[in-house]
Amino acid sequence: MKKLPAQLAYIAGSLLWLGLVCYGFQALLVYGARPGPQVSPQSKWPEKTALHLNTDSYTLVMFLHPQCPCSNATVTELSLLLAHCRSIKANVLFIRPKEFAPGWEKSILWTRVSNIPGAQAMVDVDGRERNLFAAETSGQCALYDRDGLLRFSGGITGSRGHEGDNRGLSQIEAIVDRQETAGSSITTGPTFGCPLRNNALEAAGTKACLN
Amino acid sequence: MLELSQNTLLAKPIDERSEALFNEQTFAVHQRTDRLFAWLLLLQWFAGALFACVNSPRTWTGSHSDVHIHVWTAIFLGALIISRPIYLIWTRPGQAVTRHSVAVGQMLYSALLIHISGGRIETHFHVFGSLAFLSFYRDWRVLITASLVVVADHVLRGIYFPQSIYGVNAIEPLRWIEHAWWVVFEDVFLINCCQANLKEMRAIAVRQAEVEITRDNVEELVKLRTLELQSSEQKLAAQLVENAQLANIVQWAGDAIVGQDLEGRITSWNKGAEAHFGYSSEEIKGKPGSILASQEQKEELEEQLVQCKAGATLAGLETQRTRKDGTTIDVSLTCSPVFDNQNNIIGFCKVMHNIGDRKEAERRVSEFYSIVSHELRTPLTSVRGALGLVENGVVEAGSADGAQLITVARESTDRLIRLINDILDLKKIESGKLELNLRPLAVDHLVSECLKALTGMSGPAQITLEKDLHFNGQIFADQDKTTQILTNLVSNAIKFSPEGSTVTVRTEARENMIRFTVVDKGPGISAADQRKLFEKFQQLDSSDTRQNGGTGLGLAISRALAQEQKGKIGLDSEPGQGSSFWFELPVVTVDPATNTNICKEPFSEASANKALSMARTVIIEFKNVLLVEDDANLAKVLSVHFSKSDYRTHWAGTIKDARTLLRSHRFDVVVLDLSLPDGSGLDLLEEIKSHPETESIPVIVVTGQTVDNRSVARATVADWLPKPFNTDELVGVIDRVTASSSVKAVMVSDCDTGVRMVVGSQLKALGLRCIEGLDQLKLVTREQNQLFPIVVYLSRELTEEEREALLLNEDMTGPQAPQMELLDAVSELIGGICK
Repeated sequence: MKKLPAQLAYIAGSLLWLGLVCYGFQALLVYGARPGPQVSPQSKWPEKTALHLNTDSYTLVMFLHPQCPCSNATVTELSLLLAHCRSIKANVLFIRPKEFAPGWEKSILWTRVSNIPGAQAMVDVDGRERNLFAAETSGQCALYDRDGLLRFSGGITGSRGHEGDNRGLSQIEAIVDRQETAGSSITTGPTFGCPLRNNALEAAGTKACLN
Repeated sequence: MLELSQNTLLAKPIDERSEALFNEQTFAVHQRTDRLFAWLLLLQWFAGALFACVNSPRTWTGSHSDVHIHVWTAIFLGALIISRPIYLIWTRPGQAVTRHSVAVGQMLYSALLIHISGGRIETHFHVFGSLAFLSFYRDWRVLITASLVVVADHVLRGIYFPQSIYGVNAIEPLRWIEHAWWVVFEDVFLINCCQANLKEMRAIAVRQAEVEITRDNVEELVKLRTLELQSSEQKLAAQLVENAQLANIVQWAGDAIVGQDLEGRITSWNKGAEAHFGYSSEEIKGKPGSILASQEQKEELEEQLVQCKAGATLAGLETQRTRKDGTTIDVSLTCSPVFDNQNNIIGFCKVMHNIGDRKEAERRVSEFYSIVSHELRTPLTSVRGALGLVENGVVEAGSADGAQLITVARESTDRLIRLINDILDLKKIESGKLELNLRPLAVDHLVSECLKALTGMSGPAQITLEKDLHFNGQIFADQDKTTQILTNLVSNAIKFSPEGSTVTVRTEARENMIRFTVVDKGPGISAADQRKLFEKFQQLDSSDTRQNGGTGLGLAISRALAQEQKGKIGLDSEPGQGSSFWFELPVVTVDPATNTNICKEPFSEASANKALSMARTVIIEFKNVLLVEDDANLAKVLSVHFSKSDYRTHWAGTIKDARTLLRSHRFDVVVLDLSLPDGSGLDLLEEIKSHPETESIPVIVVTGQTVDNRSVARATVADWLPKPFNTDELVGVIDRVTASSSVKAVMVSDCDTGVRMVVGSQLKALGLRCIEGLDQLKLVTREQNQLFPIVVYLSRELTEEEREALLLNEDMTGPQAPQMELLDAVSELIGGICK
């Protein structure tokens, strides 16, 4: 009889432990599956942008927060994408807020991007281009065809910081492979990464990662 | 080992032990792996946190940043994941729940690690590595548990968070199989390895169990065998001891014990054989047994071997064997076969007992009978011849020749009687039935009578018989037997002394014994002859040509008689120096308290006269005078004077002799010379006066010395006579000093009135008081206030009361033995006379 309460306590403790662990994983997975803030993208190549449009093929513009850890997975997927779709010319803009000194943007991500053939790392001081292309979340991509029409807007990871197969990458590849012309619809997808603006959360009505 | 494990008797214990060992070993493995995982989990937790801090330290919102959730997750969720496994490792190491919990925790941490690493392919190896580590438990169930966690993770995430695994939002319900397959793939190999390890562990456990059981069995066996060995050793030791004892018994047996093999060669030879035959063991072993037999006996030897080989035992064969020096010995032979354990004859054992002595004895007996036959026939021939002549009228019976013939017949008859007596005495001696009549005997009288009896023998041989009595007291012996001894010795001395020589009989005191020595001037006796002289049937010359006759029993009988009387006999002789044959007998020890003789009827004039004679003897011998005088001539003169006055003289020429006599006799007076060869008479005087038993004896000193009248010595003596003195005066002094202690023999008689009157009147003439009845006796003893000798003349037996009254004084107790012996002696004497 004395063993019975002990056994019950043991079982209860085990179940509690398991529950807490599951809750922890659940919270982690929920966080990972939560996309960053996103606004409607511009459907045409912004005229005021300093970037050059590739008139031979597609142009991909990606915005990254230099310190966003989730964007590591984005950069990895970018390398896979550019390896598969060599005709794409990628412009990867690293946002540097004005309060940070030059060079702040040259993080590991910068280095990785610089080493990707077909990708060009550029700095976007204080987010000028970001504003032109309406990018809100680190890892957000915009694919323009040779005519400057937006074909895809969104992220190329399945969840935060998670490499592997994802819908955004598949969509971009499909667009490039199909050589879709004007008149095709714009494909959009969620972007998983850190917000690029300080007040982007308030504007987008979403909460910070830490929540 | 294989043989052991196949032993059905041991199979069960081996199985049980091997199972126990296997369980112990697996438990140890589980515990060990648990401890390993405890460290691994901690390390992983730390590494995960570190990785999160490095890989995703902060999360950004524009220019603002916070700690990334991955860091908190790595720390707290990671800690939560490993907490339960570590707790169980700490509290329940080695148990199944612990290792299953470890498996769950390990795989959950793999999932966490993969997640916080952003799903890196490299991180997925943690899953496979974890499975490999979990296989250390060698428990396939643990791998199943871990695999199930992985599967569950994929299934649940595939359902709820498909994009986190597959990168798509659409639920793909079976896609987890593709992921789980690789886990299963690894599981197959790992489970196979676990099973192989378990099998190996089980085999090792079985081997170890076998070894242990074998070791235990061997130990038990060794103990058992050791005990058996010890027991065998003890038995062997005991057997060896017994064999050694038997060997010693055989070795040191007095008889010759000889072992021979089937061919007759000597294989063993004991000490007895060495002594018998003179061969040592080393020189005779291996030699044929015929070495001990003469040429004539070899055929007999062969015959004996044949019979023994047939299994017969030959016992008691009387034969002869030859010594090493060539002499032969008579032996009684027993030859028996020796058998081995299978009852096969392997040799012979011969036991030879030396019967030479018996043969010699038989020879001597035969010789004795020859001698005796001759000694018997010779006088018988003389008797028959002499009487035949008279009977036939050849010689007139009344003529001188006739008288001579009768004398010859009588002497021959006497000779026959002596021979028959010797033979009868010998028979008594051999059967131990010799009866002795021990009583005090006067030495002087004894010697005198003996010499007197032998004058008839010494006269014709022209031998002078002398006596030299240094001791003239009494001995405690049998008169007839002592006379026989003395007569034998003196007669032998006469036989072997040359004509004109002297044979001297000497007596001397030696402590408590009196030695009688017969000295002759004969040829002497060699040492070799001396050794056998006192044996039966021994004569220095037993041939038919011997000159001196005799049966060869005299000395043997004399020795036996002396030993029976608590004495001893011997001789001192050298060839050409004559011989001194001696024998010793105890000095008489008489309780001075009483001196009782009993004369018992049946009444006859002869018995009455005998009683009177006894009384007279008692009376005459009762006043004992100890004469201590070194001058033998003076002593003889005084002895004659004393004897005429009814004093019995005991002469001691030295203080030493005087002491001997004082210890053994009771004296009425001591006549003491002061000048003695071994000291001063005053010393003896002091001794006499200081000893309670002798202090009352009056001492008369006769001396040529001048002693102060006021000296102590003068005060203690009864009288002091200077030399030269008048012997009558001395006798008068003795009369005077002994008058107060004079005792008179009192005759107690309650026999017939006529006898009492006749005997009593004659005794009264001797100064005896005749007392009738015990009551009168008591009155008289009270009057005298002392003890005195009594002659009891009775026609009946004494009652016990009378006997006690006669033996003991009212005031004294003393040993009854001497009195009883005296009574018995007198009774025997009376009985013998009456017959």
